[in-house]
Amino acid sequence: MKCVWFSFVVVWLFLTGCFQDRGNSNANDDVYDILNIYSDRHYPVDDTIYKMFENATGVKINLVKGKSEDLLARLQKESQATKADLLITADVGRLHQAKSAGFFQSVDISPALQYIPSYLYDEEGYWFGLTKRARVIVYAKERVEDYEIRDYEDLTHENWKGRIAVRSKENIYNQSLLASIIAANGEEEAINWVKGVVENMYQSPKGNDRDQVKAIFAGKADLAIINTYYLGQMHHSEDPLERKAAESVKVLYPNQLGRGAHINVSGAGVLKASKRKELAQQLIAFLLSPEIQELYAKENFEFPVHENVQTSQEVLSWGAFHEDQIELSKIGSLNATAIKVFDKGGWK
Amino acid sequence: MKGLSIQHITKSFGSSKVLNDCSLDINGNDFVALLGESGSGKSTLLRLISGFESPEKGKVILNNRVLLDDQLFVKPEDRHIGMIFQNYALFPHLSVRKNIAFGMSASPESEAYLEELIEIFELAEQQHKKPSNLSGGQQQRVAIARALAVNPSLLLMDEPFSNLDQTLRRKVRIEIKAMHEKFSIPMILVSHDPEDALELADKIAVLQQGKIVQFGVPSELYYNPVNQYVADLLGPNTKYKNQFIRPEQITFNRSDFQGKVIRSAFSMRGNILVIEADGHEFLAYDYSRTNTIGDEVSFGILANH
Amino acid sequence: MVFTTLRMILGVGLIAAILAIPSAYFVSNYQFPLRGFLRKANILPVAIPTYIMGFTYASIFSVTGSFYAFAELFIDRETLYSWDIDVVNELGLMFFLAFALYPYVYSAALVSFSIKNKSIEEAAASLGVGPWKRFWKVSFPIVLPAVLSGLALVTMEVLNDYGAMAYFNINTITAGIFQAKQMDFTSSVFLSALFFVVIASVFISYYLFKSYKKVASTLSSPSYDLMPMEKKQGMLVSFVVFIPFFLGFILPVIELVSLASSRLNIIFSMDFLIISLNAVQLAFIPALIIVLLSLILLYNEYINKGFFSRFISAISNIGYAIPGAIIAVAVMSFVIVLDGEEKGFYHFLIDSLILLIFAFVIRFLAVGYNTLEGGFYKITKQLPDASRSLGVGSFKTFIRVYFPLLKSALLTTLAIVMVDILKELPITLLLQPFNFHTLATVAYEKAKITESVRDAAPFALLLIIVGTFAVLFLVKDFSKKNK
Repeated sequence: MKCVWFSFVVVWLFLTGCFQDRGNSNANDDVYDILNIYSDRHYPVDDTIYKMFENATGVKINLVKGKSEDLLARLQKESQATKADLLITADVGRLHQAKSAGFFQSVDISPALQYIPSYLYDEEGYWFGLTKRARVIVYAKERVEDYEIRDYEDLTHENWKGRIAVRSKENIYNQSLLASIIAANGEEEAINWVKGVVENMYQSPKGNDRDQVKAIFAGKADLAIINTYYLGQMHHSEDPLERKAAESVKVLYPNQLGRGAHINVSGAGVLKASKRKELAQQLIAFLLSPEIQELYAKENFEFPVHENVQTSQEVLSWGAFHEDQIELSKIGSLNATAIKVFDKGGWK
Repeated sequence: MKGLSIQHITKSFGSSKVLNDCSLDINGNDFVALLGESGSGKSTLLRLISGFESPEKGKVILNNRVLLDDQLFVKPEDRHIGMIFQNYALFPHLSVRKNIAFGMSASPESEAYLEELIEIFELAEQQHKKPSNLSGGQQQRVAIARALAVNPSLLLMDEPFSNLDQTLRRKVRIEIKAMHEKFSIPMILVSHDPEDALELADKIAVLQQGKIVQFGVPSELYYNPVNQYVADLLGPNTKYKNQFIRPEQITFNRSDFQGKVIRSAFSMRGNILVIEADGHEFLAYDYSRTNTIGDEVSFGILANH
Repeated sequence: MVFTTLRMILGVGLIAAILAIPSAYFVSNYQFPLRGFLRKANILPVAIPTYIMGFTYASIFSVTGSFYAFAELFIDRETLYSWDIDVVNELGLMFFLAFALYPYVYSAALVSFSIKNKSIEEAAASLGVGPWKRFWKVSFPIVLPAVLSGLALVTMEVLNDYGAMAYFNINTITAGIFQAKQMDFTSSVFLSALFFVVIASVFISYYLFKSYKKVASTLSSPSYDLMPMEKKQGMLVSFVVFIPFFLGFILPVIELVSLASSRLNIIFSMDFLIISLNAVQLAFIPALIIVLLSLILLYNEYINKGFFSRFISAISNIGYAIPGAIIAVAVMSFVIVLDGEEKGFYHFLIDSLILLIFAFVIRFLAVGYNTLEGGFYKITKQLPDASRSLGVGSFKTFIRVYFPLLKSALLTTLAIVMVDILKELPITLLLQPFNFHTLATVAYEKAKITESVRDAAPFALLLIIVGTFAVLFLVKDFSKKNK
């Protein structure tokens, strides 16, 4: 009897497993009313937005969520055979990599770009920034006065010895920040900057952006380099201590008298192999529309790329700022140099 | 020709040659015992006959059917050779009855034969038990019944007595002898115990370093072994003038030799004496248990029977 | 990078051995309080993926984490902070990975401590050798091959971890592979990584091959009695055996529960049920294939004795030495190269999950093979020999003799492989079709958004619950064998 049950379960598991229904995942080429996306953005708000697009257009969106490294490797292998129409990734370095590997095709969505500053998308139309993130300095409210530090370059001052918390060089946001410094000051200066910051670190780099804020909270460091939206998340954490940690720091938008604070984008590009170029363009235009831009801003503490859309009140309360308006494609193309500079300067 | 023919078999494991150009012919329904020191290749030869090993070269023919030669290799399951393993290899998950019926096809005749076998081997009471609940002797009987159930053309037994105590051993020997007569098939028994071989076998083959060095009836091997190795395998002896003298050949009724007892030990048949005479140490049975160490004795040697 | 990797391997291996061997020794030789429970309990940490273990411990020791909250009861926070307790470093990660991986060594050692010839131990005792010396001189050398094969598995798991290493910023070879993967497959980093993998493969296949056979050959009396202990000593031993279980399971699970506390209700929601059911199904199919393949490989070794069969088995086992991401990219490239212009076959394989399952089979066949091998070699070869001498062909012998006798070993293997597949991340991330979720990928996505384990905690817990069920399933049967 036991045996009969067991074999029944086996057969059931096998059959249902083989023909699993994954929510009408008809990711086939011949169906026109679908869009296939490879994405490394995993925010809940993204799902909401795709739902909205589906409801508005009747187009079904299929998603593969993965690490950007994995998605790029997969695209490289699949090449022209990929079923994906769009790649969405969270950093301009990755967008540039995808462009130079020839994954994207150039598309013209100029009507949608009317209110988008030109440095936030690729001028040839290979990729488009969807949201901005600012990589800023936060400092300990109680131990640092706001006049003590102004620019990224100030981080190398010996005054900060053993007081800076920052994560590893493997982090793509750090790489893009360094790329912006290379663009502004040249490679030599950038190496010196890396060396200077390494000198001033309170410990060897590790952990994530939140951990750097916590280090300030614990009094181990006084300055940290982080993306602002992590601070937003911490302010809304379930853990009261984490909220306290977020409250113990203040945001400094650096280089306000000069080139501006470094920003990065998460963005999208239409893949060369896509046979649904128009639909893909339609989605990007949709994501750039004021309505969606507002959602990004509200739900995720990110900055909208649309000029007329307001940043969320909470983020605004940290202060308004002027951003580094260097073309992000330049930042992307400097990514490889940035990795080298990190190595030369001894950033771990 | 009915019988088994093994021709020029060579088998190595790694660099050591276990069987070296080994040949043996068994006629009719003979019960053959295969003797040899451990490592002499007995079990390997058995496994070659049954098809669990294959040699580098050689030929095996059973009842005019080639089982193995340079081109041909008949799989064990197609050889119709029964095998009794050292620890019986009964299937632990099956009852006695199912063990015996394991290789039988389903038919009324075989059902009847199964009942008969259970009867013959006195296993009726145990037939629904699992093998682990049986005694050693019963397990042995199941193993034999199972092997015979498929009507093999040859039955091989690999040290079948090694897990039995002395009393049981004697009893099982008698059973096997009776079974051999009843089922009239050729059998090969591998053993390291000369008593098994001498008592059971029609013929004995002795393996030395991968070769059959002597093959013949028990008395021939016992009294006229071809070398010291064969002589020692079959029991204690004294080599004297190219003759291997067995202890029971020594008689104190004659006085051809004068000697001195240098050792004495108790045994069931009589005290075993070591007598030094003519520059040799003779073994003898002292049935009267009268001689002690240091005694001068005179004795003679009886001829071979 | 190579040195960091070697340091990690040696460090994790050493700590895992220290946690595992004494527990296995006491459990299989002595009677002490809670022995039965602890024997099973020490296998449970395998249900926790290494990256979850790393993240969870980092969370415990984070300045806003439970450790400080607990310590605050005794010492004020300012003082605590000034002490500079830092676990997010190489040494820390060695410990945390060892907490998750020691069961591999433990279960290997347990099996061989249990089946080893008890009379050897007794002979040593009769010669007046004390327990301590007896352990080092007698028991330890006997289980050493099994311990080494357990350590080989640990090594491979260390090499496969990416998440925890990245968070702790430890640049192992695996991290190198992931960087190289960005586009460039010919870079020196990739080559050196590949070299290392080749060495590791040789190492692992060697031990996979030696260990169990040696153990099997020393197999003798299966039944023996546990040695009794004085009450005080017994308590002490229970405590010692409890420590690894506490560190590897209780503590992280408590932390995850407290992190997920406000969201625990999601665990019982329908979505969760569906996701976990899908995960179980997805793990089940490759696990079943692996079990069958392992059985066939082992049976082939029996039927066709000789170097070639063993060679086939050795080759089949190499998958475990190769990091998942490489296997995934390799099978993907393989199919794409073979396929025609349209790549319809490739897409079919991705959409039907066949490619994913195929990659799982390559990666985890070694796990199945090794787990089953222990049981397989406990069956004396004379049983199939006997069956064949009765005229039953090799396939029928397989069905009628091996299958019923290996039933429990097969279930055990199925469970172990399923747990491994449930935890797997890199292969799944690379070869997933559209709109696809497993517990591991969902946990990973959640952890990635906020870069903390908090949002992933309910999913991680579910993963652990499912894994624990599978392990308990196998351990129950394991205990039966020992009675």
